[in-house]
Amino acid sequence: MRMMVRSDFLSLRHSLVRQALLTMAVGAFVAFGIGSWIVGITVCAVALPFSMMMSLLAADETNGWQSFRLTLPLSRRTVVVGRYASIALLGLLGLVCGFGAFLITCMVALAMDMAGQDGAGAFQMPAGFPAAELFIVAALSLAAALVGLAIMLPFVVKMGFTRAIRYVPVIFMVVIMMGWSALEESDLTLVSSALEWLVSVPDAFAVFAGASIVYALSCMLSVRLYRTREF
Amino acid sequence: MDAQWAGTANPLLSVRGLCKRYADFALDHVDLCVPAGAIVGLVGVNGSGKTTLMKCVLGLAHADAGSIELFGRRLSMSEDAAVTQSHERMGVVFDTLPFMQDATATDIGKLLADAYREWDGGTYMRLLHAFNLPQGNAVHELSRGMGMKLQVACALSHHASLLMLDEPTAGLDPLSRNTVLDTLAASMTDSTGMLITSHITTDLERLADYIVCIDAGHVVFAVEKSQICDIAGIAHCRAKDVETVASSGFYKSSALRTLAMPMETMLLVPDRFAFARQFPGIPVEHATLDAYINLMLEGSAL
Repeated sequence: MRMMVRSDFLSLRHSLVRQALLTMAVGAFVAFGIGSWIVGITVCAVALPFSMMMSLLAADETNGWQSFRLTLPLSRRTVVVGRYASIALLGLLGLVCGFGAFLITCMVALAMDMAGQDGAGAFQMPAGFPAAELFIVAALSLAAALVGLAIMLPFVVKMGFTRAIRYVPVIFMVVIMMGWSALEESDLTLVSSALEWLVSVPDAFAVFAGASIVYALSCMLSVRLYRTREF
Repeated sequence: MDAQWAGTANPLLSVRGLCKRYADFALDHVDLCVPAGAIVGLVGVNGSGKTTLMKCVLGLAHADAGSIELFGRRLSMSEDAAVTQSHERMGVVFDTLPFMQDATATDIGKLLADAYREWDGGTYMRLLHAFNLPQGNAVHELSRGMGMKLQVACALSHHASLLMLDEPTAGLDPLSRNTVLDTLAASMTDSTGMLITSHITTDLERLADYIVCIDAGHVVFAVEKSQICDIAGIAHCRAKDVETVASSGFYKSSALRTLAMPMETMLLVPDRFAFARQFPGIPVEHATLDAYINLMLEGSAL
């Protein structure tokens, strides 16, 4: 397991810092553009693990590394669980970048005298240090990333990155369209109540816990799928 | 399984009746054995099934039928612990350098130290030095030959009992090839074995104890190297010499292989000394591995 995580981060050694800084800058830019400090955290928490996962999967298929790795004394289960652990760590790193983006946007807004509260000013600043709001945003953002990854990874584990990348965007499109269609047909007051329900720390934690369970179930499915994969 | 291997006690690797079918290719009832203390050379044209066989043994592909025993234990891909234990005792070299592009030799050493319980950092450093490999250069900066040497260094640094080497000398200059071949030969003990594929037959003539040839998914021959290089021969015949040999009754039908050339017919004979005694007027010389393979694959039975 340690070897698997170490090899993943070794693969990313040169790109990780660069990508983290870039994600932080993009998060800050988007947050500033939209005028909401929340968005930067979400952008970073979702973008970094996804972009780094792509790099990891591409590295797997370069020069047969994924085949060679299976000749080492690592079980297929260890390979999959280690990969899920690496990507979860990247999600946490994405959150750190998100907090960095939050600090950058706040500092820039204050320096440029654009900050305001309750609708005043171009950039909406939190009143005081928004610990609870930060936790809620972080938990929900990471939950969204984990669910997205949980959907994508079993396809990649079974088919390999090159083949899976042809189908996964289509699957995401279908899921999003079905979700959108369901929302349009549903009683929007229910959606609105659900969103209101998510404003407390325990509720956000519950959502994060639920997403973690989905991620763990995805991992178990991937272990089964990887056992029969051939190279 | 070839008769001479049938009595081998506790082989490191034993493959029996292995079948693996793809849409356009099939490995068909392949038998192979790597006895302790022996080096087995696996030869065959491109696409003959060598890599598929290696993949099945390494657990990268699942056999459709037959069995694979590693270190006396039947390989089952569903038993993670058994596979892990087998791989702990195996050193593997691929025909291309499979490590992460940005990793250095030092990084790879640390990584493999995490993977193998028996990793020997001292041996690894000694081999890097012996092979003149830079420790700080990233994999993508290494030449193909340096990459192959790095893989060999890794395979030899965890006290593996069985080495599985796919073209380990591909891309090496003659001096480096000598160094690698000497190092591989020196790593052998009575309890270790090696399965090596190579298109450089002189390497196999130098290293191997047994030669197994695969063609179109079938084992064409599996013999001791000494039977090829020390005993077998190539007779250079005129047309009437071929008729003389065929009509002599000295050989059973299909015991000889012939290959017609523009100026002569080459005849592969199992024992060149017996042939020379029986047919003193026909020149016969010792068989090289290249010539033997050529006649077995391209020739026809007399």
